[in-house]
Amino acid sequence: MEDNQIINLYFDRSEQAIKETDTKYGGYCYSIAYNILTNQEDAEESVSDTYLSAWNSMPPRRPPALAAFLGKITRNVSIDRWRKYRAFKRGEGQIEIALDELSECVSGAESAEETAIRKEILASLNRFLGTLKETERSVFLCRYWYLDSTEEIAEKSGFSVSKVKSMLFRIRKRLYTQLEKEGLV
Amino acid sequence: MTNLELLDILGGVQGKYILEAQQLRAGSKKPHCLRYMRQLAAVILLILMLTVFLNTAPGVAAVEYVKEKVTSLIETLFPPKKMTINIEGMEYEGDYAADGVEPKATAEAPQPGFAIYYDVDSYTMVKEGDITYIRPYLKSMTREEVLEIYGDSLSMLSEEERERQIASLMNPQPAPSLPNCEIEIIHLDIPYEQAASQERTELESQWEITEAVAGNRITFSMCNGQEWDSPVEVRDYISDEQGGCFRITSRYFLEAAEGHGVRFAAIVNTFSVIPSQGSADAISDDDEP
Repeated sequence: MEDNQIINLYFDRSEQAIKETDTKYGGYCYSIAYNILTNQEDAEESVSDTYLSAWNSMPPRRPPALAAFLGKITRNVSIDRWRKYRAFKRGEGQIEIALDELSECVSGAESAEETAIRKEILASLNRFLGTLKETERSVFLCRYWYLDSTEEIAEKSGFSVSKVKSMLFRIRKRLYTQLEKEGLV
Repeated sequence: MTNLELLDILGGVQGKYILEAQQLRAGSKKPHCLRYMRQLAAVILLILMLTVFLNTAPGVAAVEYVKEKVTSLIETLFPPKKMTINIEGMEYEGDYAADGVEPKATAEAPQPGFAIYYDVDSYTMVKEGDITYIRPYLKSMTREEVLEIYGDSLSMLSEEERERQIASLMNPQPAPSLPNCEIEIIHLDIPYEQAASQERTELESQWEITEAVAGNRITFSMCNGQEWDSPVEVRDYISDEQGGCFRITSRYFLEAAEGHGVRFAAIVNTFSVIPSQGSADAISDDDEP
């Protein structure tokens, strides 16, 4: 089914939207979630949360590229889940519980300054990605957006693992230089 | 900023980059270099075959086969490279790849070929019969790409106008009001001096000509008028070292002299003749920058 048709199903509030999304993008979302969580059950829950979030966002949102839209939600949901899991493990559950309790005392939202800085860093990142060659950009995003292992990237790209590693090293160095130059680190 | 925050912020990068990387993950887009590596491996394999069979009767056939294969692999012999050109004082680096016409090694009428590098992001090569053209590349986009890039501004348009704009961005067409810009390459069966001399007589009635001679190449730089859209042509007659020549005509207009004009000159300077004998050793790359 075409993306437009799937989006229309969301707008019609038809539950078929979730089924079609799962058919077309279920594997894609799962691969993103699994790379972050490395646990089948958690990854599946993240994918379900992604569908719920998509359901709540459309309408009013009409994403121009459904795959990127779903991928971003899955990534955010999964990183959030991983972060909570890590905090739980570190504090044997107490940090997470305490943080949850304290969240009642704060707004939970970022300050305007923090939001502005994040936006500036994101704009800088997009500019930086625009300066990379397509292959470099894809390798970089496979590693740091999709969280693919260097071995997986090497297999998919046809490069050796050491070539992927050295490529990533050089890109990270260039990114640091740019962020430093722009006063963002 | 912590590394976790950076990882978090990275989540918001442009969707087109995310989809581009997904193509690599899905294995639907291998890096260009891999293609050349494969071709290079094929050439090495053929050379090994040649070594083994060189002194046998089947070896003679193998030699011919390898020669044929080598000459057919312009991309391997002329691997992609980065070139920097200076346009109005600014340095522009681009990815250049070679394409061209393979030599024909028939005994009756051996025909040399050629290879030429061009900026693959900005130009495309089109072959029409015996004539090869390099023309500006108007990149087509998918509907998703158009919406990703122009989504915000398109959403402000009426549905009818939006669809019209999307269709036009998906299949861009050259502006009809602008004069044609292209490079034309054709092989002539007469020596380059003779071709230049014959054509000069005819051209002089239409153009103001400045002639330059360098090695086995004659160049006519021609213009006709001082308006922004006045036509400009540069004709290069280059010897094919086999009694014929290649005529390369760069066409643009006066205002495009610092754009297409400079790029065309850089492209023409990469022109290399591939002799019809078919040996990779015989390739002339004297003009390669």
